[in-house]
Amino acid sequence: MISCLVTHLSRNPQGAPIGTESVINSDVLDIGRGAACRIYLPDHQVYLHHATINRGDDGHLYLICHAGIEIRVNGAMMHTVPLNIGTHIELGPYEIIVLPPAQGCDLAISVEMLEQHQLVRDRAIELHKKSPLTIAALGYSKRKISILFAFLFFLLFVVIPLLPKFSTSLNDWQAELPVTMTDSWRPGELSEGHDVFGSKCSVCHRQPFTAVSSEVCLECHGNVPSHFKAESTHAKDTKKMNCTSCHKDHNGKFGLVLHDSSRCRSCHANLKKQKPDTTRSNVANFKSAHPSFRVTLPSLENATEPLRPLLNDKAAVVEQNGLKFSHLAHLNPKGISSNKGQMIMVCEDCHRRNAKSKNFAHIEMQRDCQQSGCHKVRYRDPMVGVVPHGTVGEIEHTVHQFFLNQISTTGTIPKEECRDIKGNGVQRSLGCVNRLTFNLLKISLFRKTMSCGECHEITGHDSEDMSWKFAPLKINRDWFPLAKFSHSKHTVTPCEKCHDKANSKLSSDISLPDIDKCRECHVGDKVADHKVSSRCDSCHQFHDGLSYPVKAGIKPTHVDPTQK
Amino acid sequence: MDWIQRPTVLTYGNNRYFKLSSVIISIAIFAFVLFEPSNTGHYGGTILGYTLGVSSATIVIILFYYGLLKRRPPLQRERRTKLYDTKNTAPQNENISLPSSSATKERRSFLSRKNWRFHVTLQGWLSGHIYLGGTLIVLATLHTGFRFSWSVHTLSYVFLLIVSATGYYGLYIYTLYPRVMTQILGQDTLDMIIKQIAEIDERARILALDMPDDVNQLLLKSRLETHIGSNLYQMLTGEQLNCPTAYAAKQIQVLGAKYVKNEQIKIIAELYSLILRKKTLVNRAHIAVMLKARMDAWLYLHVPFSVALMASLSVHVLAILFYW
Repeated sequence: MISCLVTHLSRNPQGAPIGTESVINSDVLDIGRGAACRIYLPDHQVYLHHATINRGDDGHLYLICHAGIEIRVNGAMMHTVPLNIGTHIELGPYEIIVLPPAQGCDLAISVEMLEQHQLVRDRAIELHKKSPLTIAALGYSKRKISILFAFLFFLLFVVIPLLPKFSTSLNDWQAELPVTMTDSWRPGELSEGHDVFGSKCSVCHRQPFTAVSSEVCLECHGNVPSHFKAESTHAKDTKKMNCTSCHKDHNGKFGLVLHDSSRCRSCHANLKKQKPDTTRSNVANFKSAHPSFRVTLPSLENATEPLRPLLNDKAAVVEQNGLKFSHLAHLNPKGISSNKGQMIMVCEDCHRRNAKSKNFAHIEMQRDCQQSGCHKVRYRDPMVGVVPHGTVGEIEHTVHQFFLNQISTTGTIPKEECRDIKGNGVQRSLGCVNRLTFNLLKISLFRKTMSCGECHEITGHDSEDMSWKFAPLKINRDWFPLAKFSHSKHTVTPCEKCHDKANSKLSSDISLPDIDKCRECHVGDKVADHKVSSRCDSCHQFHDGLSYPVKAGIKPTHVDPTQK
Repeated sequence: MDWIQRPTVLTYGNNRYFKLSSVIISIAIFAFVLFEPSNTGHYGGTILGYTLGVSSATIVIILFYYGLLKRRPPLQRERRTKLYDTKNTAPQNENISLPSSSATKERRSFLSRKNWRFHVTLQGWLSGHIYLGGTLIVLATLHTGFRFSWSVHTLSYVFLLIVSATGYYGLYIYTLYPRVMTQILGQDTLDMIIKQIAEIDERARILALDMPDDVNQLLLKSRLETHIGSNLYQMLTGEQLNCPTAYAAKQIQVLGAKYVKNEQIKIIAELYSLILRKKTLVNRAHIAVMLKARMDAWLYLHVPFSVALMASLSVHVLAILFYW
């Protein structure tokens, strides 16, 4: 028989213990959750029959757990526990402490539910409330995340990109990296030519918060022709017009040059108001506000500047080239008679495109005029012969040699022409050769309407000596030297669509198309259906230097990008 | 009834901000189509590009200012003072859960206060915030000229899209979820549901004391390991992986077949009923927490990315001006 004093402890709100004592007498004391247990511990964590208190063979009392169950005793897991005074046993949520036995009892124990388990059972609501129910309760703070974001951003995208600005060695080092420190600030791809500078922003951007100046550009591009005359008052406007006005980089490989006409229009649309003494017209738009073209003609005698009449000024637009030529005769649709029969000619027979130049290849007498047997430089009277196309001196020499050979070979002097020549034999022979040569040139080769005279204006027939005068040739090579025009881009258009040469009898006729003809296909900047949009730089170049010479003596500064 | 008839933020002031945004967007698109850029095409460096950029930055500042205004401490103090005054003047026995309660009235009064900031109500500011946010997407996209690169400039645009996307997700959530929340919670609050769960746990514990250990273990596990909220995953998905309560409900049926005593059968049946009720309550609590979490979660992206957007916008402008 075991007599056990069991004290069930609980705590008041102040934490002071309150005990309820009971004495249990039994041979075996069952401990468990079951209603039949003598020491009743009503909690799930206690087994139905958790343990028993028995008296051992040695007379001591033992707490023995049921099979497979262990309990914590003084911090160690045990199956059988000798119930010595002061032993602390944790059984589920309960703590059992062996106390000194009271009088008449074999054993005294206190049973108390541990505080944390008390919470679980009695304050389940509080426990649930302690469980975080919102994201904020998990400890995430919008403000902290925001500050972290801002800090990281400042570090990555402000501090790091600016560091190379303050250290040349760091700048050089970072430029070699696959992803450079300044890449994050790059607004766009550099142009093809400037890509060599890579991530060294300071090559062009010298001063913070200051636009790239023209002086920086001119360090490399100093020999680019100016748009203005150096002495022009308008040269001052260049100060307003920086390189970067038209050349904005970071616009892709091919985006450096501004092709838009807006910058040109800003001056040229109202040029007469800005510069009253100008001879140039206002130009605002190719389609509707562009003057008639100015054709460039060779300068008159004693003049240095070429003539540049407006194309619609028919009286002024005359080419005095010193030649006689009829396009009408050559472009006869029925053909023109030649040694090879009736030959139908087209423009390309004479005007051959030159792959190396925007202009046509030079017309060559031998290749273009004599290839079919036409225009051989013949003489017929008093005998038939051919001389090569050349200078007056060369032709005179050829004819001279011919008669000299003839007289030398035959040894006779023609009596009819040379009867009055006096002197010895040699003098008479040479005099005769000169006379025969003069006669032949005058009567046949240099006659005004045949042989050379078919194409050339020849004077000097009345002279007694051989002072023939051929009108000087001024064949215009470039009608619009200040404009860009490519015949190769216009091959789909027949020649006669633009050049009215089929009715031209004189070589002085200029059959260049005026602007109205161009406008049949070309419009201004604005794109229009079935039309070709044309900007200022479609035909003109800003840096062509007009007729002014390229600045002399300026050479480009060779910048080694690896050294800056 | 006037609460129901109150115009929503989307139709505030006879669609005032919708009309304003429509006009701005129309002008921007019209200018974008009409403006002939140089050969470089549209990008931020043209006159139109700068105009769109400055307009976008202004709108960003206005939108950001709204966020600051809402969180300004003086406003909170003002609000608390107002609430305190209202409580003190309200009858003591007033039922605060009714829609016509003084707190609700105070809130409505606060929302519709005409002179909240710059003579625009808070609801008006929110309406403007929503529509100007949409306008900003269009203006900023046109400002980019559809040119993007691996740079801080494009990053600003990406942040803008993230902020806008989270904002519109928030709008969607706030349009839909309060109604769902009402359906889920009914007359209860989350606290009341948790109390009910605890009560069920306690009743089940007492009921099961005389039942075998396996039944008690199930209930113990259900009681100790069923968590409402607790972690971000559970909050956002509204479910607990391997929920012990669901498991207990299933297992009690299985265990019930083992016990044949009349008394045990009765207890098992009662326990099963309790655990099913608990499961329903747990599900409701999970969903309520999920709805609240989702209503909060978008702000955890919206606010930090708004700050990041302001930072990136500042760097964007700094980078442009620094390397002018």
